[in-house]
Amino acid sequence: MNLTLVWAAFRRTHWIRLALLTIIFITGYFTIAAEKTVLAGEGAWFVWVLGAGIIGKDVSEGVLSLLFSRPIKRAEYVFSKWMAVGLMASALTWLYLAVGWSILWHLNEPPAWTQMGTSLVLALLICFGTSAALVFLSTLVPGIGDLALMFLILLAGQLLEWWVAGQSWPLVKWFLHNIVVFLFPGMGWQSMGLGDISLLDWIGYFSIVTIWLTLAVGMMNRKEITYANS
Amino acid sequence: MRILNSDPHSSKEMPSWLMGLTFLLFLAWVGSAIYNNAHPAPAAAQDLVRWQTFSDADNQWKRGTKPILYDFSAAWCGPCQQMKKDVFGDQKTADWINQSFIPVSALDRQQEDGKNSPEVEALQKQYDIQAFPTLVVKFPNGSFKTQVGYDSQEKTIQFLQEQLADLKPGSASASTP
Amino acid sequence: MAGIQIKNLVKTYAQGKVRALDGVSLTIPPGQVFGVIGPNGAGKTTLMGCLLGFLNPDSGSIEIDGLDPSDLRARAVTGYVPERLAFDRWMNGREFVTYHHALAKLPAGRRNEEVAQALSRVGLEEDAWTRPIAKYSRGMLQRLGLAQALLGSPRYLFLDEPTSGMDPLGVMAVRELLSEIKKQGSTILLNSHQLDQVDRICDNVVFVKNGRVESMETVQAGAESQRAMTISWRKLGKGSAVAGAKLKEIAEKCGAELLESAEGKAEFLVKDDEGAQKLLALLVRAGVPVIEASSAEKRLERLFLGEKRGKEKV
Repeated sequence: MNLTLVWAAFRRTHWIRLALLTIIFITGYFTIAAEKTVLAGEGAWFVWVLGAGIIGKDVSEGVLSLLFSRPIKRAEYVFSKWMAVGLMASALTWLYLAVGWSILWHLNEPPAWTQMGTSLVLALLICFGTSAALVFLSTLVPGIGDLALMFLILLAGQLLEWWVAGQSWPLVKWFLHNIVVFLFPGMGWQSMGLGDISLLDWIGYFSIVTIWLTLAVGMMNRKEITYANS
Repeated sequence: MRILNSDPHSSKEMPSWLMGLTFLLFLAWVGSAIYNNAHPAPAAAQDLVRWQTFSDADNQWKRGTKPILYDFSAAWCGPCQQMKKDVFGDQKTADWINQSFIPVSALDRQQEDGKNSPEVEALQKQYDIQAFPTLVVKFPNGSFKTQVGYDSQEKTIQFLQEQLADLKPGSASASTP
Repeated sequence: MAGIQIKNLVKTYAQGKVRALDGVSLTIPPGQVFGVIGPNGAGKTTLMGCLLGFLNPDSGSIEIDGLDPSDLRARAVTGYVPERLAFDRWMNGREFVTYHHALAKLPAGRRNEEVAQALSRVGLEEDAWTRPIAKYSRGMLQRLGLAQALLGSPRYLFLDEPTSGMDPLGVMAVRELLSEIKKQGSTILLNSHQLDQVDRICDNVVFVKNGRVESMETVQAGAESQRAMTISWRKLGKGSAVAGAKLKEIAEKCGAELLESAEGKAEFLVKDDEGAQKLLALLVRAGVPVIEASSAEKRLERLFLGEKRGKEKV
């Protein structure tokens, strides 16, 4: 990991993203007041608002050539982007949770301490998990095309799932049914206690995250950086 | 260009530790899934609530003594399973529900079968079910109250108690589980 | 082996349909300034991309100091100025060079000092250092690009059109800077369309066309050689033309000689680059609206246009 790259990613956040985050915060709190619960899954939204185009924008803005003229491994670059998005989103999610719990305390619906601790851990898992998927998708398309790609995958997955509903293709059905899990690892745990998560689910989570990161590094290693062919 | 460049001096190195970790985790994941399939866990989260059929529930409800408790859920829904384990799988709570309500399970089968039974479909429309789990308490006078989502056993029991407290005295047990 | 060795380099695009490099072989000894000229689409940028490890050649080999271009040790001794000056626009000049100082893994202890040195060396005005890069002119961007490339005194400098968009004084300043860098023993590879700039700076020049090295010329004249220089200026109104006597006086002040003059241009004999720079500065100060300064010798132009008199062939 390269701290210079991580710090540059922090500093680059555009005001539009901050405005979107503020909207998410505010609408989130209406839900909290209505349903008396604060969910760590909001972290996934923060990942996408903060991280869309995290690599794609470097490609479209043409800054990669100068960056990779330096003694930096492409794997280092990928990990730094992953860490930057994961850390920023986690910090925001913790802030969101803290303010949400304050609202619940004020409404006389205080959550249990164990539940709060679990939510903090789940926030980290969801943010870093989703960030891994985002980083890979961002290596595939320029600009913020990764956002469009994510929605396209979700939509295609849903359509295909309906189409194969009548077939007996268990592996295909399992894959399509779990697209959300692949794109947002850890999201399904947000109403559960840490002790309720099975060993298989834990292994699955870490396996998905490492697969995304490996694919992202592979894509960056293969990527050719030139405007010569245009 | 090598696909898996493990030269530590190369800027295009694929770190061996990442490759190794990814491979091992993937193997462990596949292995655990195969093992779990071959050795299914003993029937956990045993549901101790005596769920009624739709028609039996309707007939009992018409007597006006107890409210119906509809449980709208789905097999794929994690929080639904959690509620099933914490609330319906707890002997004391299950006994209290059996005593105080007419419990009806409206299980969504859209994912598995592509459609629901006519009764479940009608109930989902009637109560505008948007998420799972949703608990609906239908009072003898026809009005109803809803709880969307699952937070904790305590909150769910509290919700059910509040609904019973709204009932006229003598028509159902307002006792605690 | 030091220097750059390129052997039978082939690079194609569009699944082999476009052959950008077609068996290029070159040896660039260390400490030389090597120019690469050629028409658009000749393969110059592709060649530079392969040398920097940005592109994966289809076949052939490249070694920089005996290392593959993707090797981190080769990257650590390389400086690069791209043709498209796409820098992180949200940073200011100083932040950008500081960022690259850190990316180059140079010691943090001397960071501020070395960044300031680099910015001063390229002639970027100090009040511009804290201005956002988004507000920089093309010339300022070129200087900034050079500043980050010179960090850590790289052994190899790859410059893609380094003087594009610069005024004549700026171009001369860059030439001077490159001469200085060459004296320090660095190897410089330079892509340029501006033939007279290439002529002045380079020891050797290769002409690339259709992905092949068509010819190579050893440039005799360097920065210290005497040569003719043509200076043109915007034609002034009636009665205010620049008198020959005035031109002669200006020339003598900087040790040059007026060879001939006409309305709107004159040819001078200058001793060296420094003399040429002084001449230009004096003319501008005397109110002559200079628009172009070029070497009277046109060897590279002949090369470019395909005339093959008395040249070495590779």
